Amino acid sequence: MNRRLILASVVGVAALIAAAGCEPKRGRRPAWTNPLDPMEANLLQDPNDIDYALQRMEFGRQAIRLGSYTRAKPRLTEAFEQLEVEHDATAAALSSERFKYYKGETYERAMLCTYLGIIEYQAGNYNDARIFLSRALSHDRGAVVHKNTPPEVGEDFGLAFYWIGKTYAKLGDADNAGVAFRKATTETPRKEKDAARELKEDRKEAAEYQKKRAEGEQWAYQTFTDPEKEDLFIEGVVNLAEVGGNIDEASKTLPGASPECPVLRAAEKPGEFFASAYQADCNLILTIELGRCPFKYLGGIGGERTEFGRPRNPHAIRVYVDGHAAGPAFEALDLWDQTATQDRIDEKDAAQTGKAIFKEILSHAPYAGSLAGHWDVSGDARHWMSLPGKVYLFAAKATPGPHTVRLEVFDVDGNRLPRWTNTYYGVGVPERGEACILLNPRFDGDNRLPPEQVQKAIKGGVSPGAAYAF
Amino acid sequence: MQRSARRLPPSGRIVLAPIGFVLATACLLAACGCAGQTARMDLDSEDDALLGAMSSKDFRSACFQMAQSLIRLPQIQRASSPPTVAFTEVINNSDELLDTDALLYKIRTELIKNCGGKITFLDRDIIDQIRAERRDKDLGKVTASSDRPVYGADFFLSGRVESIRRTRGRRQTQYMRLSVRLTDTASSAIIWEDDYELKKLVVRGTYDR
Repeated sequence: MNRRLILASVVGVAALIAAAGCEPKRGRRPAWTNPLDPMEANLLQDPNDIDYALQRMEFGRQAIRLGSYTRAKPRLTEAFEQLEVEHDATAAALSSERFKYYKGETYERAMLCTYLGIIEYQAGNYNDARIFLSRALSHDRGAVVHKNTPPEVGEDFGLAFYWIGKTYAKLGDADNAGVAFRKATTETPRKEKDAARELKEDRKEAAEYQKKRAEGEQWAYQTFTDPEKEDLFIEGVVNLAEVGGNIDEASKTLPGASPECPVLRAAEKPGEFFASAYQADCNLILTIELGRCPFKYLGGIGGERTEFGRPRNPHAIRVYVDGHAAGPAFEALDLWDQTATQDRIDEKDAAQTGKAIFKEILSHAPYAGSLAGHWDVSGDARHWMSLPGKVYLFAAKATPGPHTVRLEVFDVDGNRLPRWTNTYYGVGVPERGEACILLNPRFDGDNRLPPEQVQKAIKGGVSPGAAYAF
Repeated sequence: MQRSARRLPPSGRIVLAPIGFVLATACLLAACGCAGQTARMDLDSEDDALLGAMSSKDFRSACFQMAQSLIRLPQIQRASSPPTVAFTEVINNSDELLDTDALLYKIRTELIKNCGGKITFLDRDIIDQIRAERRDKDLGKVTASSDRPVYGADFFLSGRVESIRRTRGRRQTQYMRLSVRLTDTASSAIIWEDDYELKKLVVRGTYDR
């Protein structure tokens, strides 16, 4: 080919590419973009896609976390609609379970319905709230498969029972409201040895964490408050090694508390809290989501079995309003308890094990052995990752107006976890009606550093985004 | 020098032939599933792939049954002049999200189609517009062809939907009951009530969770 022609073509193409990049500047980028926008733009559009419902569950949860219930509702509703649709599972039956249409474990479906119920409740659509919360309870009952499983396993979704109790109260059905509140206190029946083992593990980890915490906080304080090290000095650092205490010794008022206590009525015991008369009197209701949800991993001879892992989460919360102690938040849901007590589907486990054994046998056969290596029989490790580990409820009667709500968090031994303290400003209580607010306290929620201090922290040896022990 | 054609040994052909067949079948199956399709369905066919208590077949059957039952009422058949009926509401006390207005309108349509003029139905949905039109007629703003009163209702038609759902593992039963009643607006007596019940068993797939 003519060399001059080739050179001309290359130059021409290069010029075109360069010209394409020379667009006029469109102006400054916005200071903040809604993180939900790119997430929503990338949602799968085909309802038959195996991750359609799961993506919408994740989006809905993020929208709720950011307080955008109007954006959460349509996506969660789309996921809800798919729960009742039959999807073909041939691919999952013949190959990896992850090719099945993901609709969630029983507790994930129940949480989906519960979120929709809470959204409808907050919008004043009490009958629709009742419907969604009823469906949440129905999905929870799906956790009972075997005849010798205690029926309480399917009647322990306290969060849905609480909200359906509130809903029945709004609908004027006092009897059902009372029953629902009582059922909200149902404890998940755990096998004694499992519960004892987990408690022992939690106590051991809590003790180790407290020891490491004390060392780490002392190191942080010494590193970042040395005035001679200007490049690391951060003003206002508090020595969190000296901040602690036990839940039983929690102070009644905090420094800087308001002159008058705004809490007019608060409950200290579950029996008092989960009562229709008390709930009817409350005008400040906090749903507090804490920690990480159970995770999945693959087990068995060929990764064919889906197993569940237990995260470590804090154990108790005390609430302060305008610096005054307002009592404990009551645990309504522990997703690990839901996971641990959910019966497995024997037919599915048998199918998965059968595939794994057949694959193992086939791998030793001539010629077919190499094909067997490509046969994926793995389980499904997908799960609704953004769910919380535990959900607590706090309800009180408070004076109308804006308030500062502070959550103090404690471990299994009642020791305070200062980095879990989260303060919320401007929590409004209306003159009439009730304020229903969902809070997501985070590790280091009150310790957010501006970017320049983050750089100092990294320089000093802190690992950014390190996973917390709890 | 011409290269001799290479051929697979007999054992290799024995292995590759079935593999090729499997691959071709898989491609064909995949291709069959790719295209979507739209087709008309019979109004009373079952929506098998879509789980849920009430299907369109149940909806139509329930409304038709209610209408037939109401028309045979002696108070309707023997009335000297057609009694007037106004529709109030259908209360959804089930755990299904239902369009209760659609239920009521379908019952009304079935009644109007089958009552042979023995019942006069009142349209309370647009009563505000009717009153505004009458005011304009009285004021001479629009023409008035006759002077007829707005009818009062002799009876109210209302309904209720309830359900019971039982779940154990993959098995679930769904029971639903739609009840409709006719209430005398003068005495508050319920002069007629009928119900439509259905119960379904749903067994979820092995890989449903």
